[in-house]
Amino acid sequence: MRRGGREMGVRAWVDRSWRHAILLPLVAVFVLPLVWMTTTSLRETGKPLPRTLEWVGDPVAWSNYPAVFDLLPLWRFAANSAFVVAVAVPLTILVASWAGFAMAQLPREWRLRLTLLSFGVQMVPLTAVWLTRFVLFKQLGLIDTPWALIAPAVMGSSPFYVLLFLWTFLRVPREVFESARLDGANPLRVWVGIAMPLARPTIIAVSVLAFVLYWSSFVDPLVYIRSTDRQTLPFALQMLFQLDRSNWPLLMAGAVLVTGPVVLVFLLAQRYFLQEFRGQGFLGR
Amino acid sequence: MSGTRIWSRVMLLAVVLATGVGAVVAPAVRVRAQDGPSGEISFAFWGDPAEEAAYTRVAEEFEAANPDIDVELVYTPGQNDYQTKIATDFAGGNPPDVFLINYRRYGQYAARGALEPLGPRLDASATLNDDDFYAPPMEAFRYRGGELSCIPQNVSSLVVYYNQDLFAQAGVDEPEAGWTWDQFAAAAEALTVDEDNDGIAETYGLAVDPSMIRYAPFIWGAGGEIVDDLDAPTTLTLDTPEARAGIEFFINLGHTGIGAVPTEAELLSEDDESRFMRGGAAMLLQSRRVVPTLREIEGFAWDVAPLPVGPAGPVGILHSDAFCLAAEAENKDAAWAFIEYAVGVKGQTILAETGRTVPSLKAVAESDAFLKGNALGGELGVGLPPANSRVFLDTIPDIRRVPSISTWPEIEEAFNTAFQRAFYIEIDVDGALDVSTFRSREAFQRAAEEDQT
Repeated sequence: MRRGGREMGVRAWVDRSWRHAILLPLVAVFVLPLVWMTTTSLRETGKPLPRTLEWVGDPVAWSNYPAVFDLLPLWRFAANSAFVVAVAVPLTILVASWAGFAMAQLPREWRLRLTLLSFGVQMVPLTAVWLTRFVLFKQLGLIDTPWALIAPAVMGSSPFYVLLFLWTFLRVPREVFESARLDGANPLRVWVGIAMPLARPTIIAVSVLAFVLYWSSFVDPLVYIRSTDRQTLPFALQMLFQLDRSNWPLLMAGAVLVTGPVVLVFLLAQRYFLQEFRGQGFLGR
Repeated sequence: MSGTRIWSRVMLLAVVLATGVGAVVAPAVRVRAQDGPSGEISFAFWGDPAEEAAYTRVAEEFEAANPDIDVELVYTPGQNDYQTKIATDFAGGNPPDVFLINYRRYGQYAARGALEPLGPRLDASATLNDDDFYAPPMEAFRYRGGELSCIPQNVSSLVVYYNQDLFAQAGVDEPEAGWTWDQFAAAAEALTVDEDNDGIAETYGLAVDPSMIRYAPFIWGAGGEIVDDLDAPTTLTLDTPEARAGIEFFINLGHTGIGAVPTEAELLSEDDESRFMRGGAAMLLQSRRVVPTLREIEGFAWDVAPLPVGPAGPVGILHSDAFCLAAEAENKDAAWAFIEYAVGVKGQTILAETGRTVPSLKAVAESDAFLKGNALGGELGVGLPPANSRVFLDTIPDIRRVPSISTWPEIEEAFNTAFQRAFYIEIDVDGALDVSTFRSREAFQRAAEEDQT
């Protein structure tokens, strides 16, 4: 029994080593740019960029971080970004889950038609709607307000998010919803009480995707915002990008500050994704 | 990037409608009120944070001098993003009243009548005269040789930045005014050092971007022409013995010739400015805009020299941006008052202090603000490099320019794609000539059709 246990331990160890041998190089590919970004952000400014991958410079220039705040109103941009995300992400979840829920209740034929329509809309390039949106926002008086940036959330931000919810709700046996309805629950109650609790992993996934979408959007603020003090964080990065190459440690410091929240959100949401592998998430069903 | 460009062009088509309608309903020219213009105007511009600070200062000092006018600043960091933004603004019927633009890009607005001509306003100005400005940038903003569309703020031509220490070490004479192409090529070759003979030089003689605005002075310097007619061009004219000689001289500097310019792979690992700042390139061909960057160099002495002189005599190429007034602007008098201030002595002095521009106004170009780079509040008479800033002014009489037709950016793109290949890998000049001529043909035709003036 003990011998067997040890053998199992060894085999598991070998298995794990193999998996690590495959995954570690992959991890390196994705992590190295982040490492480079961070180490470069600690280099002294006023020197040409390194020609090779350089580990932490000497001396370590922590002062680059306060310098970014001196150079531009980063708090202002961060507050604007935070406001857009705080409104747009919950709104996206609300609208996309409603739309997905409604589509899931439709007869098959209509559901397919709407699914096809969603795919079609998904394929329209963003550049094709800049001008029409601009004219629309101008008529509505939204140009140079954060509402122009939040507006897509009113339509669920992306047809893809709606489809994610649709697929989640389709996995729930129809009888579950129908029996609730027979018990006298109205659609809103079914959505709140049954559909949404079952869709938790999807809510997390769409929240993360929508967060990244609004947090990193550059073209929307570029086109719809005029005043610098109403701009968002990607605009700050573009400002830093204009600096001379010798000052790019400041750009990298800015990049670390801007990507930080994204990494944080992903780490927080990660445990819900991992649940899926254990069969509790919607993909595991 | 090119996708973005195409879409901004599509959006611009809408300007045709917008300005057409605007012309019909535009009120008669307003009689100027006696107490001067007032109200709010918007001003769009691009630049790095230092330039943003400078333009903000121009606007603030203007507001202080004109308390009845408010300037709304519309700032975009990158130049390409800026083009996208103002193209959308114009197409969406919400253009900035005043905006900054390069002479190689304003044609698309001028062709559609989206710009208010500024010639008559300059003639009527009490503080500025046509003669106060250098002629080459002014000519560049006379659309198709007609009326002055915009007022240029700078004349930042191409020069040779060189590392004085590397010249001294290699025992090569520093460049002087009037130096020849042969001396230039010989210096570039002598300063290229490949100690371990691995084909990758530790120090290159020259760093230069093989794009049209760098090829151009060599094509002209050999007696060639880029287009058949500067104001109404219909085709590229690079297939002449003279133009070819200029192109071949330029390409020969690269690694298919004497190998004095970094290869494409070397360029990808380190850009030209960083290489020059590190001491990895002895000469750098650039306009005035790199000066603030190079002022951070600590390890060696550097200066500027004029471009070398080719068989057809001295020639330079214009780099210039101007303030334009949108035809749709509601408060044109207030907008003009701002332009008049920004391109005037006060405005240009503030901009010259960034170190990035060569002022278009002779009085400011001849001042210490430009020649010595004295920042406001800095020690007078100390001076920042380059010591020989006068080079930028001495080359002005020999400056030439490329056309400003509406599709010019596309034509440059066609040229650049072909001739970057010809520079870095050995596709022959014939191939590059054919490709660029063929790919630019449609753009020349479209420019002629789009022109509504």
